[in-house]
Amino acid sequence: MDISNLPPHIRQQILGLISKPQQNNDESSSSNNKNNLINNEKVSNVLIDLTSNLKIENFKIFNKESLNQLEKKGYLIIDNFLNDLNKINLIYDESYNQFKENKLIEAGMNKGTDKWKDKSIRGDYIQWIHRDSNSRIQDKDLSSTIRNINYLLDKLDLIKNEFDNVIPNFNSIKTQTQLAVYLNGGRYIKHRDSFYSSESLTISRRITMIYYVNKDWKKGDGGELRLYTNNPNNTNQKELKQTEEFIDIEPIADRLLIFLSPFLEHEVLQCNFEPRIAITTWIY
Amino acid sequence: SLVKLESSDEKVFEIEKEIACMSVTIKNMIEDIGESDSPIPLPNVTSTILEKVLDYCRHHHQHPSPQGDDKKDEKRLDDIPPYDRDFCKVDQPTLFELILAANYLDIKPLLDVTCKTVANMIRGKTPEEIRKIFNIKNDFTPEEEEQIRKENEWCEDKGGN
Repeated sequence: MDISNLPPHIRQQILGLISKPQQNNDESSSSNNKNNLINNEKVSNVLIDLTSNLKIENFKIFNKESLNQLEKKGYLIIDNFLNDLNKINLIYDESYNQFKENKLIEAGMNKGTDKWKDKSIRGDYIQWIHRDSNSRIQDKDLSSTIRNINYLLDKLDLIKNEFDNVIPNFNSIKTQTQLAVYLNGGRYIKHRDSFYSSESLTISRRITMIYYVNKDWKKGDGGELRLYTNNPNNTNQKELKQTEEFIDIEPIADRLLIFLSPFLEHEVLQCNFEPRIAITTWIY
Repeated sequence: SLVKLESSDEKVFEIEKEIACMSVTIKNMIEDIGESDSPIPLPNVTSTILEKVLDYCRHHHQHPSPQGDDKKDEKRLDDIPPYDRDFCKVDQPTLFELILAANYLDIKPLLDVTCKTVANMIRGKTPEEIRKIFNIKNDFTPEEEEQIRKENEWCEDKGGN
């Protein structure tokens, strides 16, 4: 006996139940009323521990302080990540070429059809870059055209490895990488990258790492990443009421921004330049 | 007054009419044929399942849900009352037969709660876990699976940067 043997209307009833997000009794719905906000589920009910019983002898990239900041503040900014102008230029060219060769698709959203491809909500073009367990890009043709992006992804893998090596029970499950290009006028309204719950531990993004290569970016160009600094992962901060404070992070070349996917809300401010290029790897 | 119900394996159950009429199907049958001594045949329901269904009806007849419960969000998955939760703790074939019986007999609360139980088994699981739970053979080749994953990538692509 399996589900496919049930009458169609019952299957539909079951699927209808699943597609509805869970709600808490005590959750106020006030935030749902605001227009132009992605209705962002409830805040994650599981915390991300990056500081307990660290194996400090395994540190290669980070140190106790940086992980403490990532856990408590929720984000870390690393400038001059590759520190190699030639590489940065090549990554920029490879990314832009992918766009120019129409390899990118218009990004959509998985929150119902009404917002699907609504450019006022999300205006980026994206391409998924799949790598196998040996860190090789699966698509052979693609692989040969983005060698330097692959080099960057190797570096980002080292960060994932560091989490695994230093933090007991971090146990990353996989990573996922996306190249995103925003054109003039593009933006992406406030949202979180994942919902991390005790029921979905195995399938949630935990860490977002965004690498920018916008080598000619200057003030006034827009496209900053507005990061809302309220971090529910910080238990000391738990008693405090939610703040709407934010910092605007300039998407300058060779900057790596790391933050906690399920906790930090963020948006991409409107771009007055193009292309705005970002390469994002999520650690699950 | 009592009515008699006859399961597919020809067992006859006697039950108060009021309780039996929680099933809209039975209620309609009684209205159609009038009160009668001969049992109402239910050829789609086995005695094992009918017995469970009648237990469910008896319980809810004795413990009617408080007023206002009807207004509850039908789509919530986390509001299954304790009796119903225990009632649905059965093996999968039984659960599916209960769904089919609730559907045939038209007992909406029972259909709702059994469907919710199945939905809870599915929610938040990976395809592999779902296949395991429902014993569904994965007959896709790795290539086909990759293709499906690619086609469904938009489901995952939330997360602007």
